[in-house]
Amino acid sequence: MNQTDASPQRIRKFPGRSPYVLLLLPAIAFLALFYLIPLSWIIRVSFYTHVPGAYMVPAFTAQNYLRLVTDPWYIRNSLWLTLKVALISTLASVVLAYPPALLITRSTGKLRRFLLVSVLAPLLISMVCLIFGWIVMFRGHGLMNQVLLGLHLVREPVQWMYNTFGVTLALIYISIPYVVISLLDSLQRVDPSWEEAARNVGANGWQTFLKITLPLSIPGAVSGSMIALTLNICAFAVPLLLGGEKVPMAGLVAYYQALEVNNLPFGAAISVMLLLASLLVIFVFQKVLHALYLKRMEVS
Amino acid sequence: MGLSIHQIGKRYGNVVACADVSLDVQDGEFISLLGPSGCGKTTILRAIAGFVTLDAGRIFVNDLDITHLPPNKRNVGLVFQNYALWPHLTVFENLAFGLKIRGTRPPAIREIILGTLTLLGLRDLETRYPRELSGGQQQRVALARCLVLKPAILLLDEPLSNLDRKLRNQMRIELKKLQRRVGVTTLYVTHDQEEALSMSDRIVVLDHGHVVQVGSPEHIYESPQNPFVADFIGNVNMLDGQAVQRDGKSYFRVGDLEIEIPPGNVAAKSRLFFRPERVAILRGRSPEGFNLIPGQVLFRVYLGAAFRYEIDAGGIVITADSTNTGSPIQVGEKVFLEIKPEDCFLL
Repeated sequence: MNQTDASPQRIRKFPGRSPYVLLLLPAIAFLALFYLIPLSWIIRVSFYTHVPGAYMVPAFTAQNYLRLVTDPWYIRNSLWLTLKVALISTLASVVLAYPPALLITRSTGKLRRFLLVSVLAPLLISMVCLIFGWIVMFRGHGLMNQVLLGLHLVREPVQWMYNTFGVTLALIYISIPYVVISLLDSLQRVDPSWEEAARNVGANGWQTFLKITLPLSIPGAVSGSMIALTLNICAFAVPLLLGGEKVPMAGLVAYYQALEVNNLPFGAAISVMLLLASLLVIFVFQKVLHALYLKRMEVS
Repeated sequence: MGLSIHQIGKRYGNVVACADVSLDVQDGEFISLLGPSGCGKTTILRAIAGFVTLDAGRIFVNDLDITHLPPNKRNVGLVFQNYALWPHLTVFENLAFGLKIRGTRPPAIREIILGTLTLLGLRDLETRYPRELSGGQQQRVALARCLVLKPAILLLDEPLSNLDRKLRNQMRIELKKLQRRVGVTTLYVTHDQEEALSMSDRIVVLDHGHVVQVGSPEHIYESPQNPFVADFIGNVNMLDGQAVQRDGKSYFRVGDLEIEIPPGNVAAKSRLFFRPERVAILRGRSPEGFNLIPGQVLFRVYLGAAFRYEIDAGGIVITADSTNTGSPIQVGEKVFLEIKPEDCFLL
């Protein structure tokens, strides 16, 4: 009894006073060395100037940011496009992840293991390999178009790739397993008797899902969509291989500026803007969801 | 007829959950399904609610065949063992959920809910969330959630089993009173015999998916029809032996003992039963009484209001209960046991 009484206090005291903090040092050191220092350096470089012929010149100028803000192409065609594609693909992946997540939650034994492995298998394969597979399937005369043409569902091959539609589709595909994983955790916490109780007072299956299962699994949908959103805002391989120049998502443009044009300061500025934009989106997203659901469910 | 169950059966693989169970429940009746865990009582309840698909049989509510109706079309209220209150909704919202689905207008919803909350003494809790309620309050909210819909049948799945003993005893009486007042036909699942005895109009005793006996609490306790019921409900002394007839009287012979039993044709039966509380312990050298059996106290258990004694009667151990009158019998003391013939039954 005394022990259990004492433990919450010990946990509260934990930060700072305890020797266990030492155990955090390797992680902190690692993050500092490979994350914080490079990030600070990128921020610093974004204020450098670019002199054609020279690599970059240390300075403290806002000219890179001015160029970003004043040239509508970067805001409209790149940054806005990035956010739009990321948001649409995230929302779509959450909607599409619900049915498999529900199916896995309700199944047991071998079927459950099979379903889990099928949904999570893409995570085990390198994203580049996935995209090459995607290209084989969806290129001009790939399998998909051959089937569609063979069934006379379309008259000419569908343009699946090298446009925003194709990139969005591929991002949805890549995000779904992440969202399924986080939904599974939440859905498993939805006690089956809550759903039965809803059926018992007269709700049909759809009403039960909308009013009971969905709101109670929102925490999982939130964390899943956070992962998907971050992945999609920073998407690089997908727009590079499936979009090309027609889908200039911000990560791609930063890469192009830094390594092709050799304007590292401008590439850094684009990166910083992208970082700020995604932080803003995530912040707003969290606030809205908190107001709608999380406050009510007291999810910490 | 409130509820009529007709020869229902359900198997899970090789396990028989219930088989050939039939039951008629009158309007307003309070029936308990009583049995050990795994006897099929919860399966029957869930089948009535529509959560178990039956292999055989039919279920009627008010003469309407509901066997193949989905759970949401049955108008049968189920109170879950864990209450199953929706954690993201307040007490009011929990109660309003079913009414909203039915299309009840908001002012009427409010009126019905406040009426029910007042009836159950929950009037102040309408804005609370389930996690902010005590176990007893949650239990009553779960009940209220069913009652606001005026179900044809109320099904209760061990609703008191998660409460502590004191509260459980209190809720038994409250629940029974409430059921009388509302007049709703009730099917109550429990493994607790005291609960079943104290609340029910009739008890259905189940074992391994079969109905073993149906009857009033008195009937079940006083005249069990087989050893399982006798042993499962209450405590009982069970002696193996042989019935004999002599001089127009019937006796039961256990080892060297001969106990007089009610007259009748009992030749085929070889087990004698009598309740510990019907055994009188008499002190003194030669008291008077029926069927006096000499014995010695082996063990004594203090139960507060009563004592339970284990008494050695010539190699046979007999359990006897006596109320705590302030002068308990000591272990080792020599006593006589009186067992009246009418308190004995053979199975």
